[in-house]
Amino acid sequence: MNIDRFSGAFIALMGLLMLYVVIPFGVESVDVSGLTPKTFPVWLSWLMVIAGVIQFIAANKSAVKMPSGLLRIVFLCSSFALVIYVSSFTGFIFISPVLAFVLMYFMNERRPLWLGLGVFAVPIGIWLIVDVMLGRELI
Amino acid sequence: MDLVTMFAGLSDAFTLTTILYVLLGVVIGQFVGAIPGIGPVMAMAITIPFSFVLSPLAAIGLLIGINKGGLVGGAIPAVLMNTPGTPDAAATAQDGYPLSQKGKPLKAMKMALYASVTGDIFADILLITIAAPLSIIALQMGPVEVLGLMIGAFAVIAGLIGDSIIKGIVSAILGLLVATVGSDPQHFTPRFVFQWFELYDGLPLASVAIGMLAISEILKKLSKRFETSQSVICIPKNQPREDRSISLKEFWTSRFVYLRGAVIGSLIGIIPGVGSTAAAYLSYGLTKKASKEPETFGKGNIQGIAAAESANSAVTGASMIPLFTLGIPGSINAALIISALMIQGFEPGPLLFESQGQLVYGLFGAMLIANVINFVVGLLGLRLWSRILVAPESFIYSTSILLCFVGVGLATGGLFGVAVMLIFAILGYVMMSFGYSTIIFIIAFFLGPRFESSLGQTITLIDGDLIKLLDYPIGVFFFVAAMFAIWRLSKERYSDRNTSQAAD
Repeated sequence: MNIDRFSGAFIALMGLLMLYVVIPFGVESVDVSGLTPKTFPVWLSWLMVIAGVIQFIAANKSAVKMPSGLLRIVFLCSSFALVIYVSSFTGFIFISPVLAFVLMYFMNERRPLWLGLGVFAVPIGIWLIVDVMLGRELI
Repeated sequence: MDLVTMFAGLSDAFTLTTILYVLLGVVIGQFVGAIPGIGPVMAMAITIPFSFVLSPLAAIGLLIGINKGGLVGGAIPAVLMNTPGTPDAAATAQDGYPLSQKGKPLKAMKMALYASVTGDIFADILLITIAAPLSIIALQMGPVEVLGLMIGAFAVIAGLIGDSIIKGIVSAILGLLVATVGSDPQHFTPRFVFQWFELYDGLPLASVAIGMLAISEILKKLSKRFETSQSVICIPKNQPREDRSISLKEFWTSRFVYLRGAVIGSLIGIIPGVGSTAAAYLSYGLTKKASKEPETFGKGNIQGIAAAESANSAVTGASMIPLFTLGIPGSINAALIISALMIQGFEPGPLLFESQGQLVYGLFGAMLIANVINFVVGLLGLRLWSRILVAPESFIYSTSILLCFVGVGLATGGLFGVAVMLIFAILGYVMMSFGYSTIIFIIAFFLGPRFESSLGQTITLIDGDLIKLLDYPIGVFFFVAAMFAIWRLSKERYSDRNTSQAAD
C-alpha cells in the first residue's frame, strides 16, 4: 500500500477515534454558550478526518518509504523506557553510565578512551555541573 | 517607550554576567554547529532546562549565543568536508568546499565568518529599528486580527515546510490538538488529563520540544548502522597570507554581495517558515546571476560563500521580528526562544515591549554583543572547531541523550516529564519518517493556547454570526490571505510534483 495513503487513512481514523472515544471520555461537558471545552478539540478532530481523507485520495505516487531500522528504534526506545523505570528506584545519575555504555556500544564504539569519556567522564561532569555547581537536585 | 528604559535595557546587556553567558552560548553554538548532525536547534532545546537557574536576560542571551554561534559553526564542516553542519550551510558548501580543496580552507572559513557576522548585524539593526514601531501597530489588533494572523502564519508555514501542504496542515492540527491537554483557557475545565494530575497545567514545553527536536532526531540517526570511520581534516600550516586570509580589497569588493544577502535574508526571515536555507540559495543564485564571472561559481568563488552566509545569518535576527511584535515564531529557533521566555514567565508578543521593555532592549543588546563575540571566537577558534569534527558520533549522541534526560528531569521536576519526552520522541520519529513536519507541530503546540483563546474571543465578538466578521476588515484580510496562500502554495506544489513525476 502507498505509504502516504496509509498515513492519510491512519490520520482520518485517529480523528474519528478522537471524536467518538477520546473526547467524550476525556473532556467534561460544560453547559455554556460560545466555545465550550469540547468545541476546539472537536473542530480539530474533524479537520484531522478531512485532511486524512484528502491525503488518502490525493496520495503521491512517489511516496516516502517505510522507515528503516525499526528494530533498532524499538530496542533504543525500550532501553530508554527501562532506564526511566529503573531511575525511579536508583536515581538517573547512577543508571546513566549504563545507558551511555549501551548507546556507545550500540553505535559500534569500541575504543577504550572514548568509551571511558562517555561512560564515566560525562555522567561525573553532569553531576558536578548540576548538583555541585548549580545546586539543583538531579532526577 | 522612553529612552531611559531603552538605555537601561542596553546597559543590562553590557554587564559581565550577561556577556559571559552570551560568550558561553557562542562557544557552545560554534562547537555544536561544527558537528554535522547536532546543530544549534538541538543544543538550544537541551540548554533550555539548564537555563532556569539564570536570570531571564542571561538565559535568553545564552540561547541567542548558541543560535548565532551555530550558524558560524555550521559553515566549518560545509567548507572542510562538503557536509553542512546545519542545513543553512548547504549553499555555503557550493563554493566553500571547492575553495578548501584548492588548499585554502582557512580563507573559505574566514569569508564565511565575515559574511555571517555582517548579515547578522544587518538583521539585528533592522530588528531593533522596526520591532518597537511594529509592536505598537500589533497592539491595535484584537482577537479577530490575531486569529487571522495565526491562521495566515500556519498556512504559509504549512505550505513551505515539509513534504506536502496537507501534511503540513495535519502537523499543525496535531500540534494544536496536543496543546489542548490540560485546563482549557476559557473555563479551566480539565481536558485529556485522565487522572494524571501532572497534566493539569498541560504537557511540559521542555518535554515536548526536546522529545520532538532532539531525541527524535538522534533516534533517526541511530536507526542507521554506524561505522567508526572518521574523516581526516587537514588544515595546511605556514600558508602565504593571501591563501589563508581575506584581504581588505576582497572584503570591499564583496560589499554588495553581503548587502544583497543581508536584505534577502532579512526579508525572508520576517516571513514565518521560509527559513535560512531558502534565503542562502536565493542569495547565492542572485549573486551568481549578477556576477561578471558566473562560471567561477561552484569552483571556489569567495563571493558564493559570502552570498550564502550573509543571507542565512540575516534570517536569524529577522525571524525574531514576528516573535517580538506578534508573539508568532518565524522559525524553530525563534519558537525555542519563545518557549524559554514562557518558561521564565513572560508572554511574548507586542505587550512585551510595554511590560518588559527593559528586558527586550537587554536582549537586543545581547544580540549585538553576540555578533561581536561570534566574530572574535570564530576567528580564534577556526582551527580548534575543525579538530572537533573528529569527535566520534557515538560520544556526541550518547552525551546528548544523557543531557536531554537530565535537562528535562530538571525542567519538569521528575521522571514524568522524561517519560513524556520519550513519548514525543517516538511521535516525532514517526512523523519525520512519514514526512510530517515536527517544526510545524512545535510551532502549533506553542501557539495552541493563544489560538484557542483568540478563537473563543472571536466567536464571542461575532456572536456566531459570520457576517459580523466584516466589521474587522484587517482580520478578514488575514483570513483571505491565508486561503490564498493555501491555494497558491498547493497549486505550486502540485505543479512541482507533476514536473518531477514527468521527469522520473
